[in-house]
Amino acid sequence: MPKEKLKTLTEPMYYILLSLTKECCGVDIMQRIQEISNMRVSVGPGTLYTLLGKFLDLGLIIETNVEGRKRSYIISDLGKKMLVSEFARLQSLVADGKEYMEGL
Amino acid sequence: MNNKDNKIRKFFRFELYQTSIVEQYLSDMASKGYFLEKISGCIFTFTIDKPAKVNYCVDIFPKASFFDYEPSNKTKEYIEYCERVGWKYICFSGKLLVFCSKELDTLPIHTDNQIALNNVRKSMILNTFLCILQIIAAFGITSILFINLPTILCSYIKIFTLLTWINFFIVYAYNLINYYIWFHKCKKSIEINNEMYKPDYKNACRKKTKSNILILFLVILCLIPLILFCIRFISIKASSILGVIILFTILFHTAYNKISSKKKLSNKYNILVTVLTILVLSISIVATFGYAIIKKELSYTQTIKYTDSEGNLCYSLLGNEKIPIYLSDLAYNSTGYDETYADSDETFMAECTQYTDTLYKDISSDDSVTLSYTVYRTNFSAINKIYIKYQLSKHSYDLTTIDGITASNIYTASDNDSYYLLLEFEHCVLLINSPTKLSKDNVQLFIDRLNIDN
Repeated sequence: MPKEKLKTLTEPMYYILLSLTKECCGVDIMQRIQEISNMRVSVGPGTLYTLLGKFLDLGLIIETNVEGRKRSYIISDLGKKMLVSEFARLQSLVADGKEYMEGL
Repeated sequence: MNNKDNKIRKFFRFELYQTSIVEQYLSDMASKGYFLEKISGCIFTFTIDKPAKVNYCVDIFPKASFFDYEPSNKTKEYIEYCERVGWKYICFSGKLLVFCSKELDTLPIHTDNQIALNNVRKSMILNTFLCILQIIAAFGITSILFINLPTILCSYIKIFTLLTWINFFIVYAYNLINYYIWFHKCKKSIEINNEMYKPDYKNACRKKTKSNILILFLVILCLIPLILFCIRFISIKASSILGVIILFTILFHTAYNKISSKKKLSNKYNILVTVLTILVLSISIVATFGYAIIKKELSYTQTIKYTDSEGNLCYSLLGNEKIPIYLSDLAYNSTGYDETYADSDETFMAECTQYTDTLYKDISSDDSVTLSYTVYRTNFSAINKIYIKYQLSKHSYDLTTIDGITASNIYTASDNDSYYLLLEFEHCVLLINSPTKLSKDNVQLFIDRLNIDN
């Protein structure tokens, strides 16, 4: 069965990919997401573990190091492309809304 | 206090998807001073300590296997992820992982409920498949058994088999329906407010009690034919003693459980009492049914002595009921019979008795002439109709009449060396399979000898 491609990223997906722009150990990602989002976003371990598996399958991240049960990951070129396109989409959402939001 | 003395086991039946109910159950137990140590199937082992408020998280990890006897490396890796945010790992059971936390604000393991629901769905695929397989098997076997309903109703053992399969069908269908209702409620709840649907604990417990009562009722319903079988073949007195033993054993175990949980008795006594209860129940039930089956076999068979066509002395087993008609009654020079067969427990519903009387034409060949007849007696004419319908589908019968025979309907059919005569009376159906076409006098002989009173 062909792997289902992601069209857009959910909030947890977006932050996981952001945190993996620098190589990071799996279990540390949760903390890094909180730092990036100033504690606004938290990704639970169950959600993170499932999404890491999904990203690996889709080739959005690469496993860089395995020490015992500790695995480190980094975003792949495909993941970067996905992240950039999501960033652009979010920017256009903000730009589109700007004019209308000022009057509210 | 010894470590073993500080433990208690509880039975809590749950389905894989009912994690939120298990979480609430565990928190409820912790508030009473029972803290989960391990889960084996539906048996929860608790350690007794001072009551405390503890949050539990029962999580499904799809990559774990039902056959793991210890956490795999992937499971251990996942546990590390969960422990990093403050969840303390307690135990695992199949695909279930149990964590606890005394802090109220511990980050939930699943912050994306859609992913959590997908995990449940993935893990339930095997369960759903097995459930559907069981339903198909139960439905298939029930349908096969239903084809000849009167024959089933003649035997307590067959009624027991039929009820067992119907019960399997009900229980598995009930579980499958409940899972799909829960799944769609979750899906809707996530779509509307991104929250997992959590059934009210008290309502869920009430529903669980109702389903436990339903299962108990179905089990008792299954056991009734077996009890009647015992009464029929042993005696009411012996069966009553068995009933009293079972009742007292169950009452004793229930009472012990209540005292044990109140006084927090040692776990080794709990195990001893449970093992003893199971032993007493198994031995008494197996012994009684075994004795009943032996009595049934003995009551239906006895050795008979006869001389075959070559003058040899032969022995054979014969049903001890008197056979009303032999081949010799139909003008065959029968010198002996080598087979008799009575298949009936004489249930409350109907009676089925079949005799087969075979005479070899030529001892060196397998050619033989056979007479067999089956009598169904029941007060329920609807059952007669079902049997007639079943018989009519087996051979191409013609509706006919025989002068002087006052049956409601008479059907005849023939193939190769056999003639079939099917007579339908108000409370009785008679099927005769004979080597020759029967005359009116022959048929009347059957009616008279078999005491068929229309």
